[in-house]
Amino acid sequence: MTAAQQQRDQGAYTTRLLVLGILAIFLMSVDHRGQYLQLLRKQATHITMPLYRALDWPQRFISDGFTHFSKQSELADRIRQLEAEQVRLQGELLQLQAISRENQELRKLLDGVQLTSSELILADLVNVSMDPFSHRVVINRGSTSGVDIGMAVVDQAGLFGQVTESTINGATVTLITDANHALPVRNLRNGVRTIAYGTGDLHTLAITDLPRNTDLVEGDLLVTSGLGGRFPLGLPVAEVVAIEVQDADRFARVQARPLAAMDQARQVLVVR
Amino acid sequence: MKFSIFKDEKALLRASVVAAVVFTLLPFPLPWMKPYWVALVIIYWVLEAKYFRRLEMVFALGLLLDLLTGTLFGQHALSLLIMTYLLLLFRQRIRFYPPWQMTLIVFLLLGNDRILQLWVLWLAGQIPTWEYWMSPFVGAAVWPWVFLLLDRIRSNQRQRQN
Repeated sequence: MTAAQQQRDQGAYTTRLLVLGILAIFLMSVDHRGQYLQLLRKQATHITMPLYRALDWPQRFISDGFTHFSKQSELADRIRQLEAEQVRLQGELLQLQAISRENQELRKLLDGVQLTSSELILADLVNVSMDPFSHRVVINRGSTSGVDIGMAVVDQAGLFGQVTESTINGATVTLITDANHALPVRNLRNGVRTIAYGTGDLHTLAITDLPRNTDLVEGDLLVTSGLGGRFPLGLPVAEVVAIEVQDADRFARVQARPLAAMDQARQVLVVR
Repeated sequence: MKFSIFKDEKALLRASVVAAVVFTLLPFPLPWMKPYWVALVIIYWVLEAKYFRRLEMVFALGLLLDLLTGTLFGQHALSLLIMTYLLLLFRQRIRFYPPWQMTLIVFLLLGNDRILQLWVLWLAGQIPTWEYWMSPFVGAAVWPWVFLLLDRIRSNQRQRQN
């Protein structure tokens, strides 16, 4: 190759680099700034979801295979354990039903808003690994099972995230710890309302705009406040773990630990 | 008898890129142990066969990766774009380096990429942990095997064709 041709090549690469580089930066800022690319992401799910499901299928098959070959006695133990758990949960459920009925009646007396009974859809997390910073997971239930954009997702312990994209047979869930996520919460102890922000760290939520004299102590339980209309009222969210008050600052910085097992959940419930 | 399932080099190129994308999506027991597969495959093909001269291809591949892994739309595109550009500029020199030196170059490219992506993450308001910085080490450790595997398949193919 002649030196002249090589030079020409390099020029072409540089032009392309500049044009495409600027385009990339433009796309990223548009994506970061707002919801402009939501339609594109939504359309893209129709392509990405089948791929996710296709990758998930053999893994599921293999893990099912392991169950098939595990010892009879282990399985029997497991069934016994689960049955015991079932009985205990049934008992708790009975109590809850009584309380829920009572609650409805009280609300009727007070002429308040009726709580609609919510339905739960069980979904498995799809075994694909997204970028660790994206704070998104894929679940194997979609619009045919009634999963729709904006629905709250919980695991056994607490609020997990919300559905941000939904296709026929799968949906994407954005975790409450996503750096762009804000969640209206209420302190269960005294009803103080505030907003819990995601931090980009799977184990931390932050409350940054709380006046320093607000009554909040370590160990307080935060639940969804139902404000904003996105999440149902009273789902457990997080436990306050640290409160930092700096003299110069008019606001306290509060850290809370999400109750849901963000990095371990295998199954979640979509609240319809 | 040498046997290859790939019709020609282009087929192997396509298969290796698809495999890299699939490997990216497969969960690893330790997430930080996952190398930047797509980058490794691109490095191989740019160095050895001067593919991806049209940077649009790399850009599109990056956008696909962004959609699949849920990163900011354009993050992987920019990362792969700059990596490929650097490779195309210096490939004449890098190609004839001894293997250990080439591995070092791969390490530097991946490290440079981490710094670039850190800048993107930082602007988006995220600060990565130590695990984030493990990727170049893992990538450099895996590189020789990726190189040898692809090289072996390719030379088998050539022998078969001759």
